[in-house]
Amino acid sequence: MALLKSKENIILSYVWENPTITQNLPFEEQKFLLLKIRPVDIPPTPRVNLILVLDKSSSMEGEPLENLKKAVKEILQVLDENDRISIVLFDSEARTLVSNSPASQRRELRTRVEDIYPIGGTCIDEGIAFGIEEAEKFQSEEMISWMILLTDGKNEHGDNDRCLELSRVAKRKGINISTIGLGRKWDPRLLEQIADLSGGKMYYVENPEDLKDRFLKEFHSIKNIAYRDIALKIKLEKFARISDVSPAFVIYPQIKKVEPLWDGEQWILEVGNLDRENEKLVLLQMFMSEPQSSYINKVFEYRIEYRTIFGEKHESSTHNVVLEVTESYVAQFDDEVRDVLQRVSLYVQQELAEKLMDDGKPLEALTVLQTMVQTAIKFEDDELKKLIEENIQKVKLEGSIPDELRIKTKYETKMIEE
Amino acid sequence: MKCPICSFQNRDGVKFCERCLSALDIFTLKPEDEGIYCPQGHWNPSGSKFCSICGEPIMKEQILLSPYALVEKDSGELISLPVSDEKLTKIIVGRKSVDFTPDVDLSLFPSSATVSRKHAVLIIDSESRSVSIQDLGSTNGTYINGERLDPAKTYKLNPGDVVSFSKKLHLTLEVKEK
Repeated sequence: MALLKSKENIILSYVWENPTITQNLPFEEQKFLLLKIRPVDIPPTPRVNLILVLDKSSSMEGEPLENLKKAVKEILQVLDENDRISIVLFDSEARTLVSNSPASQRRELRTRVEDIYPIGGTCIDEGIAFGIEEAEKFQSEEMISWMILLTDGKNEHGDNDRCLELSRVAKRKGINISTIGLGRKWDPRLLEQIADLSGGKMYYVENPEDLKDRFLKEFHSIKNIAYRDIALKIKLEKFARISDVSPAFVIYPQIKKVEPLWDGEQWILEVGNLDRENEKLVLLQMFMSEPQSSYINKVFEYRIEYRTIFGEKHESSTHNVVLEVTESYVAQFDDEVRDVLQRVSLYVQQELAEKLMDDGKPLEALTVLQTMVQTAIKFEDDELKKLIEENIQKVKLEGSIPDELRIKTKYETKMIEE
Repeated sequence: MKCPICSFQNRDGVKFCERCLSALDIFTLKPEDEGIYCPQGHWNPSGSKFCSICGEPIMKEQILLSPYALVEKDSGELISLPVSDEKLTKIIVGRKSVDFTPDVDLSLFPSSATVSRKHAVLIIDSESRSVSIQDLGSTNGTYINGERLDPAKTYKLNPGDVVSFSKKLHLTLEVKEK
């Protein structure tokens, strides 16, 4: 393993699935690279501009809403004095319950949480639009603006495309959105896209009594951010290229596909925020033709661009990623990279199986699901194995996969943490 | 190489499918026989009808298309009856032994001790969508709704009929509507 230290705050190390490249191959060689990024020093805890965007549609009546109120009160309790809080409610339309306020007013804000009544349908985009508006009322470079969106339903009165557009808008404005789907009737694809596009995370909460725990965990993970908006700027050597089919994946804490952007000179890989304690893993799929030299070959050079929690932009100095050149093929594999590869393959295959079902190809979907069972067995992941077997049974006996099972399976393949 | 999982057409020399990242070498490692996987993911030699490990039928088409099944009401255990492309499908029902594996193996049921190796044959007529059964001279007999069958004759089965393989194991014929 090569370790490259930047003078600054972030370290990147890397491991190849196979650290050698063979000369004179008649075809391009496929190469997988695992990048590990972690902070060197631990900055102070960031200030948070938190925006809660909450579904209060009629289906939330009873236990879901009561537990949601408890969760919100708990969040008010754990906010730091200099944090900010906004609360937006939505059903078929949206309204602001708590306009962007200092957390120090928590006592007064607590009473307003009681003022939520379950009525109406679901329009998620209105909720996001109001949330962005609230976030901007007190947005500064020195704060992390983060939205937590909760829904228990599909976007029946809204427009999914508008949700995605607003997620991109949020991202541009420096607002991340984490989504929480409660129960079994929401749209996992939509919530995942909102989270992925805006740089947040997507969660599934089965029972309303677990809402409090999920809100708290998410809040703590926001407080745990050490560096923001990590972007790798990559200049490839002529003989190397990044796959254009499945180019890159962020692995931790959730698997997410990343599309590299070309800025005319180099590739930019946006991999999100960096935690204080956890390494960020990024898997890169590359192809290489004939290497230039016959010993060690530089594959690309990179710089890391990021922002501190105070909003200052930093850029690391330039480092190289290299491969050893060999005359004949060397069968040498790194187990960790192989494990990551298989984890990612489960995630990709789950999406594929869903798509095949939607396209009316159950036989093809079965083939994919059966492969997933094998991988789950390899990981000794009994829960996932059972879930996929349940998928197989449903496809066989009913010819479709019910929503609830899709949600669970997607979540189980996407989540790495916990 | 075309990925056997996601059908993506990969370039030469690829070890993992470029699209779905499945390891392609596990399929090429078994040189003489690519084999076939049962729905539970167990590997079996090509042409196997039933999984040698878990007993499930292997042919995907049959699993999906077969509207016929035998169900044990108590446990809810379901055995899907595979249907071939031909007009008549004959399915030997019995108990697996060292040198013989029936098409439908009842040995997974605890009460199968009194089932003969070749106990009975089910005949599915895919044109008239009818199922009939003939006892194959079993030791403990075959029964339809409690009536013992004459081994020489073929009897028609109706959906919901309880077929007993010996007096101990009772399975109900279920036929899904198209």
